[in-house]
Amino acid sequence: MKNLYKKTYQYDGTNAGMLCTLADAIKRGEMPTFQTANSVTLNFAEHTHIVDTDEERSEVFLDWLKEISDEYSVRMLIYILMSDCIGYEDTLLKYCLLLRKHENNTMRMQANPIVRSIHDRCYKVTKEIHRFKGLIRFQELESGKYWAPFEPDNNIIVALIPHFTARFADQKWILHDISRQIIVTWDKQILYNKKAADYMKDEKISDAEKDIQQLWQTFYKSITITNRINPKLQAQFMPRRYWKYLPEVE
Amino acid sequence: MNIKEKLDILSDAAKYDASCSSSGSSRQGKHGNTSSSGICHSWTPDGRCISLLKILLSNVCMFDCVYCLNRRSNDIRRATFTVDEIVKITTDFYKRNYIEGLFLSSAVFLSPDDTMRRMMEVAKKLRREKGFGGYIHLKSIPGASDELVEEAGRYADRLSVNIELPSNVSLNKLAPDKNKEDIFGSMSYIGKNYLENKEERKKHRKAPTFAPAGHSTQMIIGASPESDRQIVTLSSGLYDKFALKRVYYSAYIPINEDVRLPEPQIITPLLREHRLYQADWLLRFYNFKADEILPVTAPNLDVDFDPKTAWALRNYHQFPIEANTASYEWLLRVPGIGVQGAKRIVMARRHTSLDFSHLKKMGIVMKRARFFITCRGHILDNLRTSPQMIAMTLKPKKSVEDTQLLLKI
Repeated sequence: MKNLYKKTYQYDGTNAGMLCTLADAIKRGEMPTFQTANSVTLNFAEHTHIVDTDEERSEVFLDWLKEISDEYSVRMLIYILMSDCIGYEDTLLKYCLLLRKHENNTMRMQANPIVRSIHDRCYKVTKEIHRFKGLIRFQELESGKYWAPFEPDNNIIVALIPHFTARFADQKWILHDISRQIIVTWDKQILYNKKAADYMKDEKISDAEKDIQQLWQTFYKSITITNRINPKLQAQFMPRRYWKYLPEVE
Repeated sequence: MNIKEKLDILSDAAKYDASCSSSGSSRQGKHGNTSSSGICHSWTPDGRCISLLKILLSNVCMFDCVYCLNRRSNDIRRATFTVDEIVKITTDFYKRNYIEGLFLSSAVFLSPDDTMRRMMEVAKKLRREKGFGGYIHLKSIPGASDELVEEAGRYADRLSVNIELPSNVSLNKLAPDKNKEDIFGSMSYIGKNYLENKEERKKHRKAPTFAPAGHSTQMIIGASPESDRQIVTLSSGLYDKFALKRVYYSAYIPINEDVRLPEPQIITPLLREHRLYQADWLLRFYNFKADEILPVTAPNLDVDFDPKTAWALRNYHQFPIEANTASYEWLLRVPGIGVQGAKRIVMARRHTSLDFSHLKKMGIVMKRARFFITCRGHILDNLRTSPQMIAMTLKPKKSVEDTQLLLKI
């Protein structure tokens, strides 16, 4: 009788909440369906388990996974959490169960469909991170800071911090995820700011910026081999959705 | 002339240099660093990536190479950057994350030593005064003194000497002011220093670097009559002899009219350049020998098939091989299996016995691979066949030229 109705786990849609949900499912040995708090509920209440989100418990869960498997396998999970995982909880749960069963051999099981799915999804995120190491464009502000607006598909801003901290340690800079309105600033230390609009409201682009951008456009134009124009190839490497903040492509 | 006009002229003049690599070095400066994996920052409408600020120091040239836009006898706008101008553009661009660094080349003005010294001074100023940690690729001028090249190597991540043309005969004919001795002399000097420095840095980790990302060269394809076999054999020799990191191939684009050049309407297809790069990859990452890729009996690369498929069709008697037991080296030789795919197969088969559906999911290109492998002893769909049949199936339906451009990386 127990398995007649599949249990539903409901959580608040956050990453911490989802990790707690996975932890609960493993602990209780169940394979539930997943639901976020704002989705439409069709199940009977008695089959729904409402998960409390607890940051600390989600950390403990990740530590436990690291302990039973390895750093690398858990890092893949963390990258995946930067993508929109709603609807993907089931695969993540199966992945965690694989980690428990096969420990640090899991990632070598390249033919396993769950491992492949995790790999592919993780690749999409890390690929975008790598792309934005190149596609980020800073503009000099009057305050002397360098500001970079961008709109990534995944929530990767945190993953860009180590790269830009090492590269522009002597420069004050701001990474600004426009669609999520998250800001990360660097001035000898990293600050994470969720109220992007407030932070930016008194800033202005510096006067010299236009000249440098024009110089860059000049370079971009004259480095192109005009008898080999191939926009399809260009868009394959640099999809159009990323063009909005690139001064060279207008 | 203002800086914008200069940049317009001197980047236009640099656009046929193929190299754009910014990988292989890892350096941390006060301002900037290099990432060992290399980073592309943009792509131009021709589909090529921009990683470095690629410019000439000057296009005022004392030479008269037949194929070159900047040759002495051409009536074009001439310009020369000052050291400070290049330093300023480089740092302004770098701060905004437009580029990974600088790729500085030059026409030979005054003398090889004068040109080389000015280029070296750009790199020196960037490193010493600006604390610049970004990537610097300097083109070494053949005939410049060893001392200058040595000093340039201290500041640069990569040095390169263009071999220009695939044979000495063509060099004499098309670049009469250049000579083989200077080119190979520079190349061997850089190669020797690079290897010695690598050894030294194993012993003393703090020893100053010499072009830590190695050296490379470039040759023009299609301006002279050499076969692909001659070209690939030459590349293979260069890799072995001078410890080169990369050989770049550049399909000739008719710029000048000259009786010594092919007729302007004869266009070297980009496909040839693409096939040469594929062959080059087989040399460097797939353990192929030049002779295997291009035997005497087939001295030019196939238009319809990539060089690995062409090799496999010629050597069909050695196939099929079993995916579950074949060595890594043999997996690499299967058309449709790349380095990633071969590694995945080797990893995965320790945990499970592989079938064709597994291979497909692991990113193996079954369209080609299916003819050359078995899984658990079976051929896919009992597809017993002959090299002729395979060739007919794999022959591209669309014009290869159209589709191949998309594949070029």
